[in-house]
Amino acid sequence: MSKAAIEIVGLRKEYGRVVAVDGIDLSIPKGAFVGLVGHNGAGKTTTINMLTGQLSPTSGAVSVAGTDVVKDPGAARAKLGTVPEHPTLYEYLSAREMIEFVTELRGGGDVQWALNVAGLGSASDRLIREYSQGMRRKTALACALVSRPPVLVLDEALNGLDPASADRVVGVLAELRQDGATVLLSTHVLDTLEKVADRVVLMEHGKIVVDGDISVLAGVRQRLREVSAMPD
Amino acid sequence: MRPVVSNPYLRVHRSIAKHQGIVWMRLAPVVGAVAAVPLVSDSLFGFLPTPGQAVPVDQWGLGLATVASRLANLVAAAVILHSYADMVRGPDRAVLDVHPVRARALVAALAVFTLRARLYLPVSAGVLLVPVGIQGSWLAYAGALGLIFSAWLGGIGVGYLVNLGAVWSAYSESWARVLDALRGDNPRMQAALIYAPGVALAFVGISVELGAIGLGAGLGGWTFGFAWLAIPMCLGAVAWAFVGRLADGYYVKASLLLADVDGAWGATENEDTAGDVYLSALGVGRPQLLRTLRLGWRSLRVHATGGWVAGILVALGGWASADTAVFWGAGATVWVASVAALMPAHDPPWLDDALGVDGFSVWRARLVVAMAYSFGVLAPVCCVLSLRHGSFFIAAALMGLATVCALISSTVASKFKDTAAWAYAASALVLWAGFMGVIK
Repeated sequence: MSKAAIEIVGLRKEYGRVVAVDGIDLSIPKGAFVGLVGHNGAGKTTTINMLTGQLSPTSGAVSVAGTDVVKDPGAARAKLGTVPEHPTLYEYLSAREMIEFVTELRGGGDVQWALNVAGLGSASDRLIREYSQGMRRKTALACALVSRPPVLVLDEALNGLDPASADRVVGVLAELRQDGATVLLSTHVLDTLEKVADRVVLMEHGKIVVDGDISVLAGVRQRLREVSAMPD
Repeated sequence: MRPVVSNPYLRVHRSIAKHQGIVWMRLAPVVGAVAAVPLVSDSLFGFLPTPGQAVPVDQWGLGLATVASRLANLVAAAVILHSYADMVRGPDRAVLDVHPVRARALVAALAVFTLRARLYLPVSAGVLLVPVGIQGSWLAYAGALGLIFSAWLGGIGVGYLVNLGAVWSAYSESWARVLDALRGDNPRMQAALIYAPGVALAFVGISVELGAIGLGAGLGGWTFGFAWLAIPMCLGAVAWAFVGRLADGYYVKASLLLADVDGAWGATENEDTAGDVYLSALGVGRPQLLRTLRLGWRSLRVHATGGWVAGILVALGGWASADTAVFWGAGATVWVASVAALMPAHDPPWLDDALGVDGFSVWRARLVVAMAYSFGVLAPVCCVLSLRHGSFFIAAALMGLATVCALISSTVASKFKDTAAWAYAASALVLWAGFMGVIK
C-alpha cells in the first residue's frame, strides 16, 4: 500500500473532445501542505472533484490514505474533509445544527471547536439561508474540519472570508498539519501559500507544469502574470 | 415525549421541516381537487346512479374499477417522477456529496420524505372520488381509495428501486449495448435514467390493473377480490427489499453519473454551437426567450425529453382507444406545461431584480417555452386523435388545453415564485378536470 496521503497516477478527464485534465501524476506525502494554483479553467477543480470522489476519471488512478477513490468513493469520503468550490448546505438548518449533523455522519468530532474555527459567534444559531456567502463558506469549512480528517482538500476555501477569518483558518490548517493532517489547498491567493505551504503545484491546460517546494512560488507568480497578459 | 430517531437523515429532515413551518401552499393541490370535483363528475362518474336511484354496486363496480385504475396509474406515474426528483436529483445530494454517506439510512429517509411530501397525490385523488361515496357507496369509495394508496406506495418502492437500478445499469458493461441502442442523441449514461420512470410505471401499471380487476370483482360480490388491492403495495414492498443493497453500491455512484451526464451535455456545446439548446432557434434575436430556453433545457430537461416520451407512449396506448389518448394526453399536457411554474426555483431570485428585467418579458418567455415543450406531447397524440380516430375537435381542444396550461403555469411562476409549482398543481387539476368534462 502506498504511504502517500494522496496518490494520483495518469489521471485524465475528457468531456467529448475537451480534455479537462490531461494525464497528471501527483504524490503527496502524509503531513504535507500543498498549494494547487492555476488560472480559471486550468483543471484544478476537475482534479479536486476526481480526488474527492465527485467525478469519475476517464482514465488513471487516484487514492486517498490508501483508499481507491474510483472503486470506493464512499469510503474515501470518510478520510477526506472537503470544501468544494461552491459549497451547498441545508438552508433551513443553523450552522450549529449543520455541523452537529456532519459530526454524526463522520462518527465524532468537536462541534464547539469547529464553531470557533468558523468564528460565526452568535450567528451560529441563525438559519443558513440568512447567511452571507462568507458565512456559508465558514460553515462549510467547519463541516470539513470538525472530525479532523487525515486529508483536507479545500477548493478556493478562503474566498469571501474577511482577512481575520482567513488568518484564523490558515492558522488552524497549520495546526492540523502539525498533527499529521495533509492539506491540499486550491487558491488564487499566493500570499496565503507563502505562509503555510511547503509545496506548490501549478496547472495549465489540464497539465501540471510546475511542481516544486515553496521556493518556486516567485516563479509561479511570474508565470501566472504572464499567462494573464496573454490574449485568449 | 417523541421517540429518539436513530437515523440522522430523518432527524435532519425533521429539523428542516420544523424550521420551514407549515407551507400552506402545499395544500393547494387538495384545494384544487375539491374545486375539480364538480367539473370532473360527469366525465369520470357517468356510470354512477343518479340521486334517488338505488342501483346495486355490482352494476357499476366495473366502471369504478376503470376510473380507479386510471387515477391510480396517474398517481403512480407522478410519484415515480417524484422519486427521481427526490432521490436522484434531490437537494440532499449536493449537500452530502462531500461527506461520508450511510446510503441505506439516507435512502430510507428520502423515501420517508417522498411519503410525506407527496401525500397530496392520493389525498387529491381521494377527493376527486368523493362523488362515488355520495352517489354510490362508501364501501366502493374505500376500495377505490385503497387501490390509489396502494399504487402510491407501490410507486415509491418500485420508483426507488428502478432509479437506483438505472444507475447500476449505466455502469454495467452488459447493459452498454442496450443503452447505446436506446439512447438516441443522449449520453449513454443518461439513457438509463431517461427510461427508468417508464420501466417503473410498466411494473406498477400491471399491478394496478390486477388491483383494479380485484376491485371490480370485489364490488361484484367476490370478497377475496378486495385483497387484490394490495398487489401494487406488495410489489412496492418487494422492490423496497432490494433498495438497501442497491443503495449501498449505487447511491454515491449516482453523483458521479450525474456529473458525467451534465459534463457530457456541456461538451456537446462546441465553439460553433455554444449556447445551442433544444429549440434555441426560437430564441434568435429574443434574449429573454433564449435565456429561458437554456434554463429549461439545462435544469428541467426531463420536461422536454419526457414530453416526447410521454407523447409517443400515449399515442401508442391511444391507438386503440381515443378515450385512453384523451385521458393520458391531457395528463401529460398539464404535466409538461408545469415547466414554467418550476422555473423560478431554478433561477437566482435576485438576478432579475439586479438586471432590471421586465417581468412581462420573463412571463412571455416562460409561456413560449411551456407551449413549445408541450409540442412533444401534442404532436404524436393529436396525430393519433385526428388521423386514427377522426377526432379533430378533441385534438384542437387538447391544443387549447396546452395553451391555457402554459398561460397559467407562466402566470403562477411570476406570482408565486418558489411555491409556484404547488399553485400550478392545484390549477392543473382543475384544468384537467374541466377539460375532461368539456370533452365528455
